[in-house]
Amino acid sequence: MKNKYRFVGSRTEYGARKLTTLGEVVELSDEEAAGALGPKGLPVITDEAFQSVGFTSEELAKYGTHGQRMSAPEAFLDKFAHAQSLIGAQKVEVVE
Amino acid sequence: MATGISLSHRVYTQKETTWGTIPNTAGASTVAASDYMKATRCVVNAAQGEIPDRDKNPSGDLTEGTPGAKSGDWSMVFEARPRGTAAGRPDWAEILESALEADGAVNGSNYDFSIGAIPTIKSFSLFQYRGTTLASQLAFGCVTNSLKLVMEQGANARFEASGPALWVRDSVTWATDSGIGLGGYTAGAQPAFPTEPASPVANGIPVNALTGTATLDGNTTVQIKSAAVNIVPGYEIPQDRLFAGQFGSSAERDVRRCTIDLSIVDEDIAAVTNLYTKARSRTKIAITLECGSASNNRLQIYAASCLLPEPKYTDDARKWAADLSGIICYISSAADFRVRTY
Repeated sequence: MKNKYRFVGSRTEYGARKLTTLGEVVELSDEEAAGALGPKGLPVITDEAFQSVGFTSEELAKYGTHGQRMSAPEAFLDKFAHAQSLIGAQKVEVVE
Repeated sequence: MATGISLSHRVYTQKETTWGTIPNTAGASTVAASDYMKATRCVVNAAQGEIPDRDKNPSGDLTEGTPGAKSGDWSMVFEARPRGTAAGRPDWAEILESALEADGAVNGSNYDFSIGAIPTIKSFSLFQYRGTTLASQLAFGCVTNSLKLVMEQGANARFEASGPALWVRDSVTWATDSGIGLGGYTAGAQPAFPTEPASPVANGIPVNALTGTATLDGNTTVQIKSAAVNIVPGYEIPQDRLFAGQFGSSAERDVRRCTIDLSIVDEDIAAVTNLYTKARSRTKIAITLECGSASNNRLQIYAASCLLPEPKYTDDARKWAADLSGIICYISSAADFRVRTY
């Protein structure tokens, strides 16, 4: 069984995949998560956490990539920063 | 028979808790997908010394000597990619921690590498998989002897790093190692070279110095043509011990030298002439170099107390330039020198 995670980084290579867009889905088994998460691992949060941030589909379309975010409004960047702050919380869950 | 394409080359680093001991669980490898880091170039070498037979040989030919010391070295070039997340640990953290002799740490939304007190050995293990059936290598007890951050036109900011290693194991000769040469693995738990993790993870976007700011003694208007930051702790793994086996003893460092090289456009503005005045009066200044402009994708070097050299004026371009190579960064506390991603 795999758990659903969402990408909240800038640009990441995960095996052959290139993750570039906010909210991209990454599915990981517990075994895969153990190797791929952590301080230098995938910048992803659980789907549930991602939904809780409240990105609108319009925001994701307009500011999904690193380049697009250069001109994003403050309100969106606050949400983005909040989403990234959840990476750490999730990491603790995985370690436990 | 197979050859290998060098593009398939992958490098992994793991921080060692104890110098010369590859991270392991009950003697087995723990290398993980998240230990991967991208590199432009990585070279790992093992060396076995030969102690020559110096007695005269009437035939006039060399006589086989005896096995000498075993050692290793490594060198890498890699682009300076911040992780791309707030307070994110960059993929190359272990190499910087070894050079600065302190653990990186979250500082608000930044990830900071400050200078460490001596002697603090921060070592790492370095795996390189060449993506084929060619020999994979594992250098352990690696310390950073020299680290250079290069910022120049037409290239992303990059690190050039090198140093010694206690020893280098490889997949071809894996079973021949023993004792210290096992690096903390056990033959039973790790009978073959560790399998490369599936789906390696590498994070971040390279930064360049076209965007960003250089602040020299509070001024941001000096035109900089190129910059480099050098951190040289001078690590060596000594091999001058008798009755201690073929491997080197614990890494030793020398005087740590942190310097900055700047090439600037020569101008008659106050921001530039101030530098010449401060050089002549030996008045130390603070220097901050920031590469990049996007949040969580910036790299900053800060040195609080820098002694400028006398400028060398150069006319090798259309405009006069001044070479300020060898700016010495004096350090009296951890806050005096810092590398930050933010």
